[in-house]
Amino acid sequence: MNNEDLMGINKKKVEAIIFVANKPVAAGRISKILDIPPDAVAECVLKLNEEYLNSDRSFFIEEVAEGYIFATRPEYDDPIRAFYNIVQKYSLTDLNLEVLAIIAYNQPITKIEVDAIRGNVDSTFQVRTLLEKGFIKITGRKKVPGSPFLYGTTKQFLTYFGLKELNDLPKADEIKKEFKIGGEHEADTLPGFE
Amino acid sequence: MTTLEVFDGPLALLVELTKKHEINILKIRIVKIIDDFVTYVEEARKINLFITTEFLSMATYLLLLKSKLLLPKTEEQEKETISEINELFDTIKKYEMLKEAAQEMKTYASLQSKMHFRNEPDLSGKQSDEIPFDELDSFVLTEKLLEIIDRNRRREEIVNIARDRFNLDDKIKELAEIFKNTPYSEYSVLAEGKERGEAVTVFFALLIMAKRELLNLMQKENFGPIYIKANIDEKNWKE
Repeated sequence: MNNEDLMGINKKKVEAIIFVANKPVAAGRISKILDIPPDAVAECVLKLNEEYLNSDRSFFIEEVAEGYIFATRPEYDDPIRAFYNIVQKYSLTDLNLEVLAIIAYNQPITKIEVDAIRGNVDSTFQVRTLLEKGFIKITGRKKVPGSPFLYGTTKQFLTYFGLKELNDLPKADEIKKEFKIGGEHEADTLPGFE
Repeated sequence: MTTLEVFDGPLALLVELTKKHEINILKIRIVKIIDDFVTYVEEARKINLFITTEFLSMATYLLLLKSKLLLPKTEEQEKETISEINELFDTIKKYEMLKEAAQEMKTYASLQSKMHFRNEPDLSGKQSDEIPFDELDSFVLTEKLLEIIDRNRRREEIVNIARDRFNLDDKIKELAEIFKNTPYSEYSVLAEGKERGEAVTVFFALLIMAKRELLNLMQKENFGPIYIKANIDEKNWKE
């Protein structure tokens, strides 16, 4: 069997696994099952997506935070919404989004620090809403007087915005540079919960 | 200026004003921005637009900054003021960047919301009860523990309400009626066929009545039958 045939077979195996899964499959898992390097999995997915695009299919394989999953193309939003009876289009208000963006780019961050970036505007309400909706979570406590909670984003956050990782955030590098972000926080666990 | 735009916060307004006054000379620029900011706050208050304290505190800060600029000062003070202005512009710039990023994230989310997965995962923002195993940490545990404690506390309260079905005062009145006709009785007779909660209430009622000397209780031995003799001569039966 030559290389191309092998690639073709693996490609179909990868497709089959992602096809039956009802939640994202990590590349590492596929690579273990098929005994091929993770790079080869990524290559298979790339090839498959090319094929879907060329044959004008309504779906493709999307890479989200947890791995690969079949997703329909945005053009077919309406019929699927009708099928599932989804009414809600967009659920975050601009203010919630503003606070979420500040947390996403500066995590881990305390509420007071969020307030400061917003010009000392109180963000208690937005932080609570984002926690409730599962976009952010408490990641630790900052080692300063009062040990305030540190907040960070969740996997659900990445999935909601269709991001693979935090570096995929819009203008991630630019903003990181501006804010000089990197390792200044020391997270700590709650005493007695180690 | 009759129609005023509404801003989310003082920095959002400052972002707009920095765009309006793109002058190279720092001092002139900041003074123009400060004047416009203060005018906005004054105008907004005139037409009863809701102005939060954040706007007022920012206005106060800006006016202080302006007075620092205009008053004669030493070279060192001058330097301090300039760096303060630069810091302010820096804050505004950072806020603007994040605000723009937030808008871009919005388009990401709206695109993502149009793509559907098999077995539609919950993207409505509602948190599911199931926590993915790799997201478990001590904070999730603490949160869950507090939830359970809270739930149990609520459950206890419900039990208390249920107990109220057998009201002690009512039971005393009821027993008093019985003793008017039959002054001699036994606890096991009174409690017979009653459910646990009511039997306990009867017992308490008897103890209270004995304390008020409305009846005498007698028991020969531990766990033995409790005999009751009502003091019918007692005048305060009506109680």
